[in-house]
Amino acid sequence: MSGREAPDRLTELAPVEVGGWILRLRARLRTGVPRARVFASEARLGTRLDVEWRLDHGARAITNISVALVGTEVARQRISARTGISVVAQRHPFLTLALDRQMPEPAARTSAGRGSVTITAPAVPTLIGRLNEISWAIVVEAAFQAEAIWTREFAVTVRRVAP
Amino acid sequence: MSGARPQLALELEHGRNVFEPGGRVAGVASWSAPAAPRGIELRLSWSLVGHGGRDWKIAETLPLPQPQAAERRPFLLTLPLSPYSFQGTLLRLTWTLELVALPGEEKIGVGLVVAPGNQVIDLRPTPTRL
Repeated sequence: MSGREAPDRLTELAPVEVGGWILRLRARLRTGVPRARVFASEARLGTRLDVEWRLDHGARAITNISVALVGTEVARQRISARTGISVVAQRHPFLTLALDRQMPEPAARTSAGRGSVTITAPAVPTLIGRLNEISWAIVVEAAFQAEAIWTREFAVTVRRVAP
Repeated sequence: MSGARPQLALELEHGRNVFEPGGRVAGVASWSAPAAPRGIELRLSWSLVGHGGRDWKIAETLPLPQPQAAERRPFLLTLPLSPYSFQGTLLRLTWTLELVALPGEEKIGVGLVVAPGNQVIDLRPTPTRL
């Protein structure tokens, strides 16, 4: 986890930035909405994880917001071609634990909430390899009725069971 | 060392190869060669294996000093606290303890399970029961 300290021993998580450097720069400079912030306690297998979140959605029509902790297997493969080497990543979520779910009032411009979860299901800590990894993230998803219209992931490091 | 390859063997105490993280692994390493190897060591490593290849890391190396041409040498090593052995849909993590003769890198290995509860953590979806 990284970022600023928040009250109650929660730390602000950084959003996962995807795409090339131009997309990442655009995302960093973007000041519009929706814009989410997520704060979390230390994440450790077998220990309670506390999360607070806030989503500024402005005038966008949003009917549901869900927040979940998601563990994902990521397997990368380097593929050589005449045009060069590209890396293809396969992702498979192995565990999704709901943290919070809200239905904002139609006139609301901002939503916020909190949730807790204990990772007791079969799970493994964060592990980052050159090709393969186990990654964890807090996923904030905003939907209009049944259709997800906005999703953002915030990386979280899940540590091993306390000795 | 002459051209003949050394004979290597690795026995774990009580044949046990399943351990809690941080557990102790005891056993006997034995070897036989025409001349004393330049070095003998135990290597504990893990592999994170996926469709596109594996990530591999030596977690610990335990040199067995001053090897004779033929010996049986008891050993005791403490396992790291992580990562855990697991089997997923795309990935699996395995631990291996190897006995390695130097300089030729002849080796013999045994697979270990290192996980809380003394069993491989299964991340694969559970089949739905009707």
